[in-house]
Amino acid sequence: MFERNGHRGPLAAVADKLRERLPVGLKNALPVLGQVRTKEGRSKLAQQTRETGFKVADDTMRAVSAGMGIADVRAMFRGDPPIEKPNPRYKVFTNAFFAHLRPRYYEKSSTKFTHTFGLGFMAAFAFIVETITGLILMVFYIPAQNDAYQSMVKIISEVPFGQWMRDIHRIGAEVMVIVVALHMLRVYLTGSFKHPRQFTWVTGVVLLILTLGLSYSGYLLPWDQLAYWAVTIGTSMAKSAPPKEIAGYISNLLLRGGDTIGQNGLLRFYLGHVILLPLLAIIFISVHYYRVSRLHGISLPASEEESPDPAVRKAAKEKLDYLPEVLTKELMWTAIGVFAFAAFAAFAFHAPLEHHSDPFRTPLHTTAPWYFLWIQGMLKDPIVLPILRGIDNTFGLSIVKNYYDSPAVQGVILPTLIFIVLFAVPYIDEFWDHLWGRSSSRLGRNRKLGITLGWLSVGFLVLFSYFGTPAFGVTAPPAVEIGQEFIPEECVLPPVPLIPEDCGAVRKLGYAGNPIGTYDLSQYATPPANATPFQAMLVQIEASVNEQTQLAKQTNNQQGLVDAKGFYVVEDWQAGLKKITLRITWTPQVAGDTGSYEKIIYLDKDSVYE
Amino acid sequence: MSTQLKILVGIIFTLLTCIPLAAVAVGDLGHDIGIVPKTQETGMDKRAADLAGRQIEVGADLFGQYCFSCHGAKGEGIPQVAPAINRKDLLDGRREKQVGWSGSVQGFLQDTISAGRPIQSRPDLYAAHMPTWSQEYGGPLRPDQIDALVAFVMNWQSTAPEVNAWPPPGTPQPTMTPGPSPTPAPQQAGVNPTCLNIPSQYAGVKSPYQFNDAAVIAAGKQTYDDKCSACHGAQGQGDGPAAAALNPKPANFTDKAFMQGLPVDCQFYRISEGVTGTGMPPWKALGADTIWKVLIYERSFSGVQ
Repeated sequence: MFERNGHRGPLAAVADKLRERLPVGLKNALPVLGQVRTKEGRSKLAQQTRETGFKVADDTMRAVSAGMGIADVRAMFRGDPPIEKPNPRYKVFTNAFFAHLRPRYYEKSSTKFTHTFGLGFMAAFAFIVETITGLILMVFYIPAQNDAYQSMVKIISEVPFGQWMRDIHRIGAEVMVIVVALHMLRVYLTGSFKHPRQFTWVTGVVLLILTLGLSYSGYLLPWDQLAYWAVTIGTSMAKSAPPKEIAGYISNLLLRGGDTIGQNGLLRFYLGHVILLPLLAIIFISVHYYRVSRLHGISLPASEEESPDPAVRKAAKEKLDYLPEVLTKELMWTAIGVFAFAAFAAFAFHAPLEHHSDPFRTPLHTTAPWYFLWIQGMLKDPIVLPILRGIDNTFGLSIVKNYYDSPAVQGVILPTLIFIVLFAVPYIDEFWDHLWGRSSSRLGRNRKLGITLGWLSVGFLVLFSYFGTPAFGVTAPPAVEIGQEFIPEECVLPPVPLIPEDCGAVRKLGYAGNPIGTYDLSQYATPPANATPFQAMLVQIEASVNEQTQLAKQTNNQQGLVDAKGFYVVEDWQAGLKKITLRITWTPQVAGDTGSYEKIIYLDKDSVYE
Repeated sequence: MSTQLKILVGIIFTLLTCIPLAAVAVGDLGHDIGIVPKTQETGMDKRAADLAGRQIEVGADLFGQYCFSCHGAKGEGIPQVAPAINRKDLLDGRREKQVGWSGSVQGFLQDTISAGRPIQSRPDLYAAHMPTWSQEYGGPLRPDQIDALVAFVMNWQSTAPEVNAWPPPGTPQPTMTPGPSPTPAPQQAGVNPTCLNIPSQYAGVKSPYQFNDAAVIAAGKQTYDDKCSACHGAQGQGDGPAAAALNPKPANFTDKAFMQGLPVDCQFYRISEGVTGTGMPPWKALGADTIWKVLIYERSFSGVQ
């Protein structure tokens, strides 16, 4: 640079000095500049660059995939056998944290869909969905009694994707309860809880309780009437925990943070929902999953595990590598699951939001959430209490009054015993086998008693859930029931999950569907020709009124609606607001019966009840 | 299923997820991303309108429980009781300017409903005293209920008539037409019919106080004058200024026969839960203690214990 015609310029010495002081890496690179001048040199350089580039990319891939080069990752996703030796797909499981949680391979038959139905996977999937959507909802939710409901309104009507997130969170919660329950049923029916997996079953029952707790604590947070009363009903059971004066009092106080649920109770349920229970769930899921994946593996189908044919037994235990078979399968199901949740929430299901909670106003027919209906059914005690009452009446005793505390027994003691038995299932089973001197077998035909008991428990749950619904054993005065059918105070959530609520025919017709006027229902005893939906509804109300009149006649019921008449009035109340009055009058049969019933609601032009 | 097929299915479903995602985006962000014209409602707008509509419905229901007995069923006011609130100058801000209120109309309504009026604006025209309604100030209503009431009252804005509610002081008042004199309470030998089916939590409740405790009577009088006298009258004769608008008439506490037919537990129940079919609202938000004091004061009119 500083030479010309062989003469070194004065700066050349300085340049030499500088060159000497260059960092080694740069000094080594200098000859490359010389190579660029020849064609050969250039192609060599290009070759070197390519090689180095590939090495960098390959090393990066090895770092990211924790042990597999590009070629092996490619081969894996193409479904080709591994290229390098030893099998780099196994290296991943010792190098990477998340991979080390998973097994290297599954026993082939244990992954059969009809054996597990993927229920454990689905439960984990739902839990992750709940965590993600829950964290986002937490940003917008305020756990204060004067702000909670308003923040729900904001999430629905102001936050982009807010309603969708909430809907997915709700769907995930319901799915998680369903899936966890079915998972337990599956494990029970296939006998997978037996030795050596007994303790895994115990952690599973803990997870069932945690799932119910998570779902239930989340139920209160919207702070609407549905939430408030469902949780009030649930926590009222704690009140009767014996001895009532100590255990009942304290557990009620701990749960509700006071005599009734208020700010304290809301905060308790919120913190339980977002910190305590998720933390416990993560701990127990870890233990549960460790035992399944590392210790014992997923159980094999009993028919193959206990097959007399050694070939079948051997085939069942054939290795199915996690990479890539199980991984791609899980990713595929994750994609399908995400789509299902996203689409269901966007097009088919919206989480309900009723009126603001009101401690002074109990909506008619409030129930616990569907998964606790069976306890509510037991609280109604359709079996023991009537029997004891019958004995009391026949013999003039007062057993019920003096000795039998039904809410404590049916609402607290029995459910607790049920869960204790659930915990002990594998040990009871083992004891039973020992008692009869049998060797343990998971085959259905060898455990007929167990399987019968399992299905009987399912039947018991369904039956008592039915007892828990308002359809069983709860009757308001007949006129009130008619009002409830057509104009419920709050929309009615069906006792089956993931079905939209029913807001009654009047609200469904809405502002536009209720033409102004006074309608004498007796004129709608026979449906008019070409009835509009509104007229069809009037016909239905009249039919209900008539039915009650007939019933009162036949049964000679003193509380009945004798000669009942119905009026339906729609008034223009305000700009875009109609007042709707359903009035039923009858001839009272007993003193104190006012002989009339009135149900009033207002409908705004913009409110939509589906 | 081969690995590649599984990957393909996964990719297809991941792409399919864009459909609901796009649908929600259009519904929630239609205006922001410019897909939905500003003149058209997005799904989010509809939801907001739906919830605002429900709030008005709640407000209408509350108005029908607490406000109509003084302000009239449709806010038209009751002469000599309470002014109209369904009127233009109140809802377009002129009235607020007149009284020197620099805040919003909603704020004016909200504060008036929440805190009541410590001093009546026009005692010469209207007898009833606006009580405090918000729980914040010891009234029965929660903040969200006050908001709903404001939303309902504000909904009159577009249709409110021009009402000259405030004749300058000194103008001759409309002559008081003597309203129907308080109907004598049902002279019944037996018990009041509303007392036949007292809910179990009220049946047989007993007063925690002596009926002749002067301190209790004084405390009861305070609440009574504030909350009850508008309808039941300062002397308990059921002839308060708001009574004219009510049918059936408010109870007359000086009527001995009527009071004898009203057991203490039943009266407590009627005050707590209100009386269906009449203008009597539920007062249980006051708390049992205050209700007992009022009850004892009310009983002191007739001396029936």
